[in-house]
Formats: sequence, C-alpha cells, structure tokens
Amino acid sequence: MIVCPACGHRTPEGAELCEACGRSLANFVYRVCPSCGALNSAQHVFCHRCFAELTLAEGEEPIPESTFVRPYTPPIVTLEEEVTTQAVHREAKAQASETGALPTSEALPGQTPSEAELGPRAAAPISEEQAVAPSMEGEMGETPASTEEALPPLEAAESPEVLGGGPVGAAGVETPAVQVAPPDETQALTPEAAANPLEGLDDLLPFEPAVTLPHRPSQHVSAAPSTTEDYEAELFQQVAVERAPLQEGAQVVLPRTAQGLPQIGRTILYILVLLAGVLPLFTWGQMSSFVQPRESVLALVRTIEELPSGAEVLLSFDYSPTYAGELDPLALAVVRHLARRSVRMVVMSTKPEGIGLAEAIYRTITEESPDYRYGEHYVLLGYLPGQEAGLRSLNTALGDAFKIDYLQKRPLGELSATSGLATLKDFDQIIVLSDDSLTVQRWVEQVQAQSDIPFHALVTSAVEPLLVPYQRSGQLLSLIPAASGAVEYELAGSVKPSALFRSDAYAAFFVLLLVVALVTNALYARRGKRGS
Amino acid sequence: MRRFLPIAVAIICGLWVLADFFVSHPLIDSVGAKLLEGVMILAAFALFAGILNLLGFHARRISKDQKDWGYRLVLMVALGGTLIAGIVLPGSGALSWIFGYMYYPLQSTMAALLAFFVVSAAYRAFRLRNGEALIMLITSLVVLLAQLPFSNRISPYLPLLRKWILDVPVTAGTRGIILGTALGTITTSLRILLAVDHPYAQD
Amino acid sequence: MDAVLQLLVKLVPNSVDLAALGMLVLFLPLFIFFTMQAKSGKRFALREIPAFTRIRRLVSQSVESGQPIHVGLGSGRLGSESTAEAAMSLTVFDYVARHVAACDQDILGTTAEPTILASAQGILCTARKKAGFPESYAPTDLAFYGPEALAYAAGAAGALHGRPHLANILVGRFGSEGLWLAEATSSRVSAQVGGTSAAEGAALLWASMDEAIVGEEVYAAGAYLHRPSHLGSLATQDIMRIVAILAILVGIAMTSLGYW
Repeated sequence: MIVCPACGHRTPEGAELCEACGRSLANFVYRVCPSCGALNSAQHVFCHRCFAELTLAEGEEPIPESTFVRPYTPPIVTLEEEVTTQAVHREAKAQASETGALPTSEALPGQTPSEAELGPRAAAPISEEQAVAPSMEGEMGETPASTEEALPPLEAAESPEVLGGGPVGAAGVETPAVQVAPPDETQALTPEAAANPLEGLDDLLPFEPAVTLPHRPSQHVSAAPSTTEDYEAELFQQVAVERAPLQEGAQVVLPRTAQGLPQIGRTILYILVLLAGVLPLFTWGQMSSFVQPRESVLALVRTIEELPSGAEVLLSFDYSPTYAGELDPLALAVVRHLARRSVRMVVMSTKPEGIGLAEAIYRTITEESPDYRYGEHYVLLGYLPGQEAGLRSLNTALGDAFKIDYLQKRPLGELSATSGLATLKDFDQIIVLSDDSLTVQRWVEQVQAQSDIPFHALVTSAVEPLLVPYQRSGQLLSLIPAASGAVEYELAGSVKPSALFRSDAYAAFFVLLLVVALVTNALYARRGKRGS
Repeated sequence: MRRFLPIAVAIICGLWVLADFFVSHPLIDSVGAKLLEGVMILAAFALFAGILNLLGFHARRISKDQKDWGYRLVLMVALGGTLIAGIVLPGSGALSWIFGYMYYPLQSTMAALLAFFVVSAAYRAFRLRNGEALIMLITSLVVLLAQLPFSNRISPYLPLLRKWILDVPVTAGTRGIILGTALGTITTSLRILLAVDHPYAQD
Repeated sequence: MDAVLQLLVKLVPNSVDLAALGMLVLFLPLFIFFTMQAKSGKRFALREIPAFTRIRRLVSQSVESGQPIHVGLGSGRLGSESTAEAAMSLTVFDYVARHVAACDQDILGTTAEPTILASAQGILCTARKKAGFPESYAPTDLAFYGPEALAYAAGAAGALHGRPHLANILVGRFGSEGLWLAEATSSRVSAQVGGTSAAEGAALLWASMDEAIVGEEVYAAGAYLHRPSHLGSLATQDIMRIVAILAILVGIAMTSLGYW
C-alpha cells in the first residue's frame, strides 16, 4: 500500500494516482507493510518492524543495492597505533594549553563531553575553524576519500498533509539546519553517500549489522518434550504458580509472633522452671510423705524380696547419659536392693555408653558396701553389638555373646558370679533399664518370647505409655517410669533414700505445667475477646 | 548403564535379603548373612565419611576466621582427643575420665534444657483452638494432676483415671500409629525394592 | 496343591514368617496396580495435609526471598528399623533441593546419621547439576552432627545461628532432639514444619511445630509434594488399613462370641 504524500490515503501498489485526492503518487514517501501495517520509507525493501518483504508493484524495479546503507565497519587499529595516537593527542593538548588555544578536550557547542575526548580514530587535533557543528554538506564535501561531486543543493521538502501540510519550515515550524530533499527514484545516491554518510565523524558507534540486515526467525521445529523436559516444565510451573490449598478460605494463618511466646514470657517461664528445680534445697523431700508406690513398683519389690540368696539376675543398662538424670536414681535403688539381698548381678548393655553408666553405679555400691566385690557378687560383661542379632545370640549360649568380662578381661568361667551360667535360662530375672521403647521391644521379641524368663522394664516416663500393651499382655511383669519410680521404689523397698527429695521438684514442675495451661487459655481468651 | 547398575544391584540385594527373612535355605541364608554384614561395614565407613565431613566443615570455617571459630576449634580438639584416648590409650583411664567428667555432664545438661523447652512448648500446645485441643487439654490436666505425689488427696479416682487413660485411649492411639507406621514402612520399602523410588541413584 | 503347601512349609518353617509372607503376597499386587495407575496419570483424591501445603509455600517464599531453608533429616538410619523414615526425609529434602537449585538459592541440610549424609549430598549435587548451576554445589551445605541426638540438635542450632533462615523443616526420625531444636531456634526462623512417625517424638514435635506431620503422614510426603508414583503406595496403604480394621472387627466379634 502506498501512502499518498498529499492526503495520506492508502492506495494499493501499482496505482499512479491517489484514490482519494487524485494526485500523483510518483513521489510517494511512505509505503505500508502488508504484514504488520507499519509505515516504511519508500527506499526500504524490507519492513523495519517485522522484516517482511515489502510488496513492489508490477514493473517496479527494486531500488539498487548501492543505495542501501551499508553497515559501518570501523578500521582495524593496532595497539601501537592507538598508543601513538593518544600520545600525539596528549602532546597537542599540552601545546594548545600552553599557547592558550581552545583546548580540544573541552566540549564544543553541540558536543557532549564524551565526544570531546578524542578516540583512537582522531589523528590530529581539531583547529578552531574546524571546531563548529559539522554540517552534512560540509562533512561530505571535506571527506578525504571524496572524489565525486557533492550533492546538489537541497530544497525544502513538502511534508504530507497528514503531518500538517506545506513545505517543511513553513507556518512557524522551525526549520532544521539541514534540509533533506525527498529521494528521487531516478537519481541514485552517490556511492560515497550510500556507503557512509557519517564517515569522518569521530567517536561514533558503528551501525549494528543487524539493523540493516533482514532478520529471519529460525524455522520452528516442533518436537515432543522428553520426560526430563516435561518434569522441569512442571517444576517451573509449580515454582512460578502457587497452588491454592483445598480450603483456601478456611485457613487463617496467624503471624508467628501471635502464636509463639514473647521473649519476656519465655524468660519468666524459664525462671519458674529453675525455681522448681531448686525447690528441694529448701523443702528436703516434704512431698515424699504423700507418695503412694504403684502396683508395678510393689511387684518388683516383692519379686526381689522373694529371690533366694545367690540368685542370678541379668541387668541391661540400655540408656544414654542424656537420660541418666532420670534413670540413674531408679537404677541405684534397684541395685542397692539386690545387693542387700545378696543377689548376684550380671550386667551388660546394648548401647556403647550404657556400660560406662553401669560402672559408675557399681562404683557407688562398692564404696557404700566394701564387702560387695567384683567377680564374686557382680560382673560387668560389656557392650553387646548387633541389636537383634546380638540379642538372638544370647539365646544360644552366654559364651557366644561374651567371651571375657569388661573390667578384668578374664574368661567368664573364672569368675564366681558367672561360673555355672551357660544360657539365659540360668537367670532368675531379667531387668532392662532403657530410654527407648524399641530396645525394650527387641528384648521382649528376641529374648523374653524365646526363654519365658520373668522380665521387668524400668524406662523413662516418656516411653512408659508405649510399653503398656506389653505389660497388659503379661510379657512385662513390671513397667516402672523412672521419674517418680525412684521415689516410690525407695519407699516401698526401704532402700537408702537418695531420690526422695526429687518428689518436691516433680511436684513443683507439674504444678507449673498446670498453671501454664490455665494462664495460656486465659490469655488466649482475652486476646480473642479483644479481637472480636 | 550409570543409572541402571546401582538400581539393579539394589533390587537384587534387597530381594535376596527379603527372601532370606522368609525362606530357610543354606545358599540364601549364607549370602543374605554376608549382605547384612556388608551393611554394617558400609555403615562404619559412612560414619568415617561423616567424621571427615564434620572436620572439613569446621576446618573451613576456622580457616575463614569466622566469628565463632573458637568453638569449632574446641570441637575438633575434643574429637581428636577422644579418638586418641580410645584408640591409642584404650586401657588407661583417659577414656573413662572423658566419659565421666565431660560426656556425661554435657549430655545431662542438654537433657536438662528439655525441661525448659517442654514448658515453653506447653504454652502453645495447651491453647484451646478447637475441639481436639480441648480433649488434649483435659487429658493432660488429668494426667498431670495424677502425677502429683498428693494426687490421692485431691481425689482417690485420679490414679485410676490416669491408669485408664494410659491403658485404653493412649494404647489404642499408639497402636493405631504403629499400625500406620508399619504399613508406611512396607510400602516405602516396596517402592525402593522395586525401584519405583531410588533416592540413591543420581538421575 | 498339597505339594505346593508342603514345599512352602518346608521353605518357610516359621509360622509367623509364613503369615508375614501371606500379607506381603496380598500387598504386592495392590501396590503394583495402584502404582501403574498413578504413573498413567490417574488422579487420586487426597485430603489436605496443611503441613505439606505449608512446605510448598515456604519453598516458594525461599526462592523469592533468597532466605535459605533448613531441612533437618533426623537420626533415622538407612539399614535399620527407621530406614523408611530416613527415605522419606530424603524425599522431602529432594523436593526442597530441586526447587531451590532451580533458582540457584541456598539450602542447609543437617543430619545425625552419616548414611543419610551421603545420599543427601548426592541429591543436592544432582539437583544443582540439573538446574545448570553445578558450581553452586558445596558439600558443606549438608552438615553431619551426631550420632548423639542432642549433640545433633545443638550442632544444628549452631548452624542456624550464623544467618537468618526462613524456616525449619524437620521430617524424619526425631525424638526429644526435635523439640530441643525447634524451641532453641524458634526465634531465628519464621516458620517451623515437621513431624516424625516415632511415637516418642511425635507428641513433642506436634507441640512445637507450626504445622505438624503426625505419624504415618510422614510416609505420604512424596505423594503430596512431588512424586506422583508415590500416590500408588498411598492408595495401597489405605486399602490395607481398611483390611486391618475389618480383621480387627472380625477378631473382636469372634472372640466376643466365643469362637476364638
């Protein structure tokens, strides 16, 4: 489509006269791209926006290639040339400043300061006569390579009516310094003008080749995505698009500060816990008078009381120092009771650190009762690795699991406490102290189920509820939580009291938890009322 | 091949050990036992690799002179000292001393901090947000009261109520969780055995 | 038929093992059927588990804000009774790692078990490579503290100390160390999500997490987050749970009526 220079009407290609105003279309300026509708100069072969080929009329010859604006290619400058050029320029600058001439490094009228800095292309300083805004005509006329005639003087172009009509420069419109005549189809531009109209100007960025060369998008090749691409696309979609929950409106997520405890509240609570812990220093076990031993504790006390002197009991210390504070007092109470009954104890552990804890307990016992001797009254067998496999090996023969004892490294047959012990069936009772329900379960499954020996578990309070089924089924004769169990055992077994004062700390701690439960809900209700 | 080989080895070894659990046959038992021994050896090497990771992690931060480099140096000295005491001086009392005067008190201290954290967690847990929280609160209050040494003075039924709570609802709930956990364990194991899921293979 | 039964009794002499084998035989075809259905794209109806929704949101927030997430893998060991739980903790870590690696963000993983450490390092390395940022992988993004549980908690709390993290995601085998870690770091993170199937730790984590995963929900992590193939095993679990409930009811009835 050709745009009429007079009225701006769009007439199909090939027409000589405008459909609307009837004027000649010979000197048309703009052509409409048939693809995207953009206005293109009559010179263009390809649309400047979508790079589609612009339709030419029948018989119309394409504009010669020489009229195309070739991309600017700067000359190759070597490093030495550049250094030399810059040195020469610096000297000239220094000379100019000495003589008082206009320093060439200052910005000239119409020039930006960056343009004032001479680039690598400047071979000589610009003199005052030359330091004016260059005109196209002047530049073209003075181009060193120019050997052709200069362009004819340019006439004022007549702008199309769509832009206001009239010649450019008329009706108060400021005429530019340079006026460009509409291109004449019959007159080709001079090769020099066609080659590089801006040649000779310094410090210009080169034309990007892509501006003049037509760009064609690559042929789209559609292929089915691979599984990995599919997954990655889904991954991106999940990252980019947040999925709505199933009940979006139903959830109200409070900001974290509203849900958690403020720092001052946390500090107050911690101080109260500390006070609960140090309370026994002032009360010395007053609460122990209220303690009633539970059935499990009484059962174990009864069982040990009924053991004959010289009976064999297997103890397994299967807890870590983490819970030693809770289990050690109960362990000490039970071991004291067994020692008082002159029962022989064989001690082992299925945890590496358990045997060290056992060693400390028995050191306390031997300090209290020097007659209670290692090897004669008790033996430490050591750590039994392998968990289930290790416990299964106990069923076959004790000697399969332990060859020598832990402390003196002597064969078990040489120690009077273990001589005559061949298998687990030679033990009268098995007592396991554990901080872990799985350990007790392993003992029940691998040992108690195979040998039917009376079995007792002394565990932490957190683990006790998980082992109640085993007690109800009769596989555990006693299941004692250590926290309160130590106090109850000392009272029931009339053992030397060392844990009685703990009952005060436990009582204070439980009262604190009750208070926290009540205060929490009071504050929550109050906050809810304020909110509503 | 790079992806196929580890998956194939995992499937074969997994199915063999599974067969060893059910079937009593000399060949299957012997190979299965060897595979299980191999697991223990691999676990030991994994521990060694973990120690190297630990040393590298902290050594890098010491060399970068980060602000808490002193604590990291203490950790590495303690690690080295315990290793030397256990490997080079096994019969001496050094390891027992480290256990009794360093390991035991530190572990007990860490566990003691749990008391503080339990109370601050209880602050959030005991809030009456919904019906479930109400049931939880009432149950907790009953059990806490029953734990007190003078609970039978408050009410003679409190210890009985506590016992009933532990015997019936708690046991039922625990059994339900254990059943669900067992089912989840079976399906997860089947997924790994049949290579539906292979976190070990880098794909 | 008699010969087959005799062979079976000869190969599996233990009656308890025989019962377990029978259960596995029941499990396997259901598992294969539902997994194939899941892989073919069939949609399964899932109830919402707020914890997993929260994990997805937290991962998106981490990617947007640049704040790293701490993923605690727990103390489950590959090759023990906690293998399945350890595998699920690796599944959750895989999900978080892939998403943060896609945007070249940081992540912190901690574990108390060296067998998980190696797998987790492999997962993170693969995630970074697939995202196109292999140079971003650092083995120190995963730290091993342990194997003592509270030592792990102390180490992980220390690792969170240096830089503000967006969230704690604690999924795996946790005991009291889960509570310890959650409470010690609650002021340093904006959100805490997690859970364990271990009964001792489940209650403690439920009390300290913003959104808790209770019990067997841990084993649904893959299905809810990013593994459609896990949907099949989730469906199998549900069917077998119904079978177990029916068996319990039948057992109660038969015992009450005196037949058993």
